[in-house]
Amino acid sequence: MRTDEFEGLLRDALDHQAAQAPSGARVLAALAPRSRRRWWIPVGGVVAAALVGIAMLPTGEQNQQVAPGTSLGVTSPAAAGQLVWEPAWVPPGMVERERSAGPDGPWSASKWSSGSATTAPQVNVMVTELSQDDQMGPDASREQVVVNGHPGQWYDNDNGHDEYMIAWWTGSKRFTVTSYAIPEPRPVLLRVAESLRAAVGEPVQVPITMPELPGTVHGWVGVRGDQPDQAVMFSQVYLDRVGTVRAEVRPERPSTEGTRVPVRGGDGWWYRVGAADPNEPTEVLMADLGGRWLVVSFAPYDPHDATERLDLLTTVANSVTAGSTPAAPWLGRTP
Amino acid sequence: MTFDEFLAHRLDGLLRYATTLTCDPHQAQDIVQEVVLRAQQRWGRIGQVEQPGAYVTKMVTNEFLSWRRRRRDISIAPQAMGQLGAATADHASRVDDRQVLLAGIAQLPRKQRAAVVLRYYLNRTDDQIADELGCSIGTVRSHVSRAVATLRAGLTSIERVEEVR
Repeated sequence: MRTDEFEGLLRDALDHQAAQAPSGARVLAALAPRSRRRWWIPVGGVVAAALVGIAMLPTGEQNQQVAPGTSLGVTSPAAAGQLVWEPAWVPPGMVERERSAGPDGPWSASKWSSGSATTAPQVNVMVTELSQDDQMGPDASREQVVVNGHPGQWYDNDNGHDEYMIAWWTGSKRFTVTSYAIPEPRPVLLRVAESLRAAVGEPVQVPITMPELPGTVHGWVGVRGDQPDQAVMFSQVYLDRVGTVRAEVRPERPSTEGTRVPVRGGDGWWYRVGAADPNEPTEVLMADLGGRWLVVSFAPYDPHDATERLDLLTTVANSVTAGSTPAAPWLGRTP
Repeated sequence: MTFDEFLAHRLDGLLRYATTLTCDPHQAQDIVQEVVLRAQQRWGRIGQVEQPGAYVTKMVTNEFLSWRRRRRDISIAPQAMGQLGAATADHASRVDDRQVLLAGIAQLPRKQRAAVVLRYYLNRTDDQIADELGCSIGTVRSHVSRAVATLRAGLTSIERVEEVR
């Protein structure tokens, strides 16, 4: 990339950031009491507290929870932790192949595709619980859309991957539906988005513990597979500017064996492959977990990064603990 | 110019500038609110300087640079990380250049970040940035070149990933 192109991109990014600026209403409100008589200050405090209270009422939640297929009975705050969000419609031929979540529960996602290959047409549904610091609605930089009456925006990511996304906000949640390799994606995504409903269910929980690794930015966990009796659970962490480390527990022995190496007090198998596809790891270490198989892999951010990671993978493999793979009756199903 | 007139003309610009510095609208609001409250108290003097806007902008810069020592950490832009998280959650790392840059900017050291924002958002010269940050022109150039190198490296890394897909 030429310098002028980079600088243009940088200016564009900063302009975009500036467009996220809040209005000056709160600043002006903070100044106002100083120009008034002092007895207004406690009154203003009470009013401000009342306004905050009103602002915190989950009015948007009520709207989001009357989505198709959802009864108000399951949307009380007490039941909120036991809800999962599911599409009532996905394109024909697609089945659910993965559920994942942030380790502390800020987001959950499901992946629907017409094949297990990474190039297969795919729809991802993600629900994020927003914090007060998150963007709470559409910004002015994207085309605005409406999903079941809620404000949202359209992301046309021109990055050569046929990737498109709709995001919309209700209450304290942001919903996104993303498509990959789907032609004419807009009506498809809108239909998936409008079909999203809350259902009673267990959020995905994966009993894998990973060791603390230097440079860890964040991680996530999930369960994937083509059918319930072949469920694979995984935990993955992102190492800042280096790559990703993933630990999977599989029900069947992996097909590739590689070089025999010591791990977990016995033998393991390790191999390296070229970085033909960044979705695939460049280094894999496998170990017998007594009827199940632990597969620890590394995928570098830079596909030209040829650094050997056997020590890292061995450290992870030796430290991982894995409980029972959770039941995943939803694997391979249609909505 | 009265303080109210100043606010009417400059408040939005200050908030936009603070948002680029903090990468966080809420922290930007906190910083600007604090600065404006102080400026109001001192308006008798600030209103007399040649360029009150530049003066208050510098107050915002200083507030941003000292904010971390007094308040909670200024962290990576939540929305940028949220977008990165959303993109990486499907194990594909599909992110666009702007998101990568914004996440990279949010991770720059404060003075490097301020130098980049002053150069590429406010279009300040090296002299002006040096005055704003209270350092030499050489230090400004060092801040900017290091920041740009970091941001370009992050972008190149992502582009390489994209190329081989």
